[in-house]
Amino acid sequence: MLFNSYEFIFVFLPITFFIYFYLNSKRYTEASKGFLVFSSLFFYSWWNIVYLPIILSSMLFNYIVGNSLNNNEDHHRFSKKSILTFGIVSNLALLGYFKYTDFFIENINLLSDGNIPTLDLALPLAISFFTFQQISYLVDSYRQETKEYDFLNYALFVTFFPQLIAGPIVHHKEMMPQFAKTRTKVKNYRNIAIGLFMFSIGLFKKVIIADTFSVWATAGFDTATTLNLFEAWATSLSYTFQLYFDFSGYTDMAIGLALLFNIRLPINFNSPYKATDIQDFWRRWHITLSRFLKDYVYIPLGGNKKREFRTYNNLLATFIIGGIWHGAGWTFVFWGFLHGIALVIHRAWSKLGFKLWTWLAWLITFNFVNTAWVFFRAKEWDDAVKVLGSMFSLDNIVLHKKLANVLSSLTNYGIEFRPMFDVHGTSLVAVWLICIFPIVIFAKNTVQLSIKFKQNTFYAFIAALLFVVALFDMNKISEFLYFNF
Amino acid sequence: MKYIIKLFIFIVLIAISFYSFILSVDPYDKYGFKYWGLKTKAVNSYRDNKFHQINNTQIKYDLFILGSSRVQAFDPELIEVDTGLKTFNYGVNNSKPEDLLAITRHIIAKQTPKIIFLQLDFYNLNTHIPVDARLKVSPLREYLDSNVKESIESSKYYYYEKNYTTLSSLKDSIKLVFKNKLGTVEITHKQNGMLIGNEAKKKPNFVEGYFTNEYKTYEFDEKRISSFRKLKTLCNKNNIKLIVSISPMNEKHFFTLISNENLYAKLFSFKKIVVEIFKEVYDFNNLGAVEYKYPYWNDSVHPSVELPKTMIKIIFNKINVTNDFGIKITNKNIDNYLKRLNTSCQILLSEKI
Repeated sequence: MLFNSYEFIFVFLPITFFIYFYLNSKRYTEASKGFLVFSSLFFYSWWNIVYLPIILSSMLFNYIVGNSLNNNEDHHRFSKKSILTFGIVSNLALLGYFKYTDFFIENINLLSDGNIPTLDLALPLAISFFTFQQISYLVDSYRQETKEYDFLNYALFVTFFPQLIAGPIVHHKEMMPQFAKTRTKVKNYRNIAIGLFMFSIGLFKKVIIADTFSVWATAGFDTATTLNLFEAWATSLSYTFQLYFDFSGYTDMAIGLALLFNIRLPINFNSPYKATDIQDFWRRWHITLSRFLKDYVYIPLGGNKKREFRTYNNLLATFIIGGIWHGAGWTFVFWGFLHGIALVIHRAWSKLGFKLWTWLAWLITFNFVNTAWVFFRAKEWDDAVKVLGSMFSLDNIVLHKKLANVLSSLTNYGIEFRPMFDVHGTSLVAVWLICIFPIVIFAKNTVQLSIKFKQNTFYAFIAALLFVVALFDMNKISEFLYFNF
Repeated sequence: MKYIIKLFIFIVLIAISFYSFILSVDPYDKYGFKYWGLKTKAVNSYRDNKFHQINNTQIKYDLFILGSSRVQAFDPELIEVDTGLKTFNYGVNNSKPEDLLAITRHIIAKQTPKIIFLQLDFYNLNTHIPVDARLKVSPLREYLDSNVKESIESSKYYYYEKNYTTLSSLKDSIKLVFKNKLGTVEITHKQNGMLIGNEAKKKPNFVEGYFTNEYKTYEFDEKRISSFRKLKTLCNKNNIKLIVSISPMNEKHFFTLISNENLYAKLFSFKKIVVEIFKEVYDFNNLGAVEYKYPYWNDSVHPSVELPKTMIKIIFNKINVTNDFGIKITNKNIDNYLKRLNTSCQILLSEKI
């Protein structure tokens, strides 16, 4: 079920909300928890019930492994380290089977000129997210930082529907104490007001902004054979904004929905395109994934505690893993590699003590991120080369027909005068980019707005307006980009 | 609690305001409301524009051109010069047999032309491509077969579209009021249905989307075949001469299509099926078309205005067929023709590979 669907907004959410708090008001706390788990599994199964057993067995397995790790008695046949390794490897094997088997087979075929048939497995929804979340639980249990003996609680931690599908990736220790609080079990009107406000902003970002840019990104990446200079930049920027508004819109909705149930999810985005260096970008973009990669990959590899060269290696390895986590393809690996290299360069540069003007630092960072997204989006290398080639080539410049009279001499330099955004079918793409750019760079983000939130007429009107406009545009199927990862 | 009540009141008020505004404009002319006294409606749909043009015209047309966006470049004025027939271009984007049949019914309900020129696209008979969603809000849906109409109306979002609860209705309403009251009405088509702006490109885009959508898992659809049969019968009954052709593709598109074994076989079967239905078909979809380069293409499947000039001359016997481009295929010559086409395709494939 999608957050941006009528069935979710008008049926699932109100029913779940009212029954959950009704059960709590009657002090049926276990039943209310059970109901929330059931609702979350129903929410998950709406997409495809076939994959329900996978999430259930994954949950059961990790709960048992976690319990073994939490058990302090010393009569285990296996050491805790072996149990943890077994748990992590099993989780990665499940993820690898569904996500990377075909990629592996295709590469074997390529190298060996073989013809092993691919399995064409459909990726179970949210598998990357619930696998990472459970790995973090196992590691935290091993480190004695958390423990859980109640399966219902554990199931709630994994399946809580606002964050089940695409994060934020949460820690057991930051979620379960919240569910245990008595205050959580009582309706809190301020939380509901802020939650609905954030949900409206997120819905608007997804349905109105991201889905609009999505059409132009697809036209440039997937349909066009050639792009002129402006079309190429419009294409890459369209995707840059689509991805941000899509994923941050989803996160806003998730945080807002969780707040309805008095649960505070961690922040996942903090105006990432305002970043002035690549490290800053990763402190602002998909923050919970960065946190996971830092805590469970970078630091265990040695972090920055070893020699400088080793630190660079660790950075690179962490980001290549981050790249491949997003998808089984060499373009994702290369995207991760590019970010790893950028972080290495940034670290070396910082050590030298040089400082750039803030605006120049922002320009370099934004352009790097925008360029790297081309590899992230491209289905094939050729698509990435097509877009990047046109972005950085002056051979194919097209100007508007209206300028032909004034600048006719430029035709001698190969400049053509015709519709500038022919591939996108409309010059509205330029208007949208010009309007959205300042919002992304200067405006407050949803979390900052929610801090300033007041329960007054102005906020009620804005929230209602955003909600109704988005509602009028929900008559299409539009999944979130991060559902694919 | 007070805030939440206020929020819900605003939601209801804003939604009612939007909806009342849309209804007062009635952008797709579904209810005949004329509160704003607008001159034009249906701002973004060729189907509906052309539907209204035919509904309101006093002109008696001799020839109607039917097909997808790929016939938009057929210029009725040039056809009139060549043939002396008053012509209207009723080409609509993404047309399928069910649209074409509905359009034919609409034409016949309004006037009886001498000729209908129908251009078929290879994807027309693929069962896996859905009925065009724009038919849901188009007045043309009244001319659809009942089973198609039902399938549209049972779709998940039909209720919202039918009842104007969509943002596109709101956007179109605002656009309509703005253009009619404050700006100038945008002219996208001439009075004769010709699309304005079909420029030739030096590097025509390869429309890859056809391979991921229109041709995807190609299987012949019996209902769509039956729609073509009905269209033929309808024309016969009304003494309308039906001229049928298969649309061309540029070299890259044709080569990519025949490089796929399944599509290769389907292309040949398609030709057999349409000849069986229509008896005589002008085939522009062969290696003759690949000879035409700049300035004949807008993209890999949409010709610029130049190519249709040649096609019309071939159909009306003003020039001879060369390299089988526009060859008239019938039940008698189809086997020989397909054999010849197969040989030349194999040569092209071996050369390219």
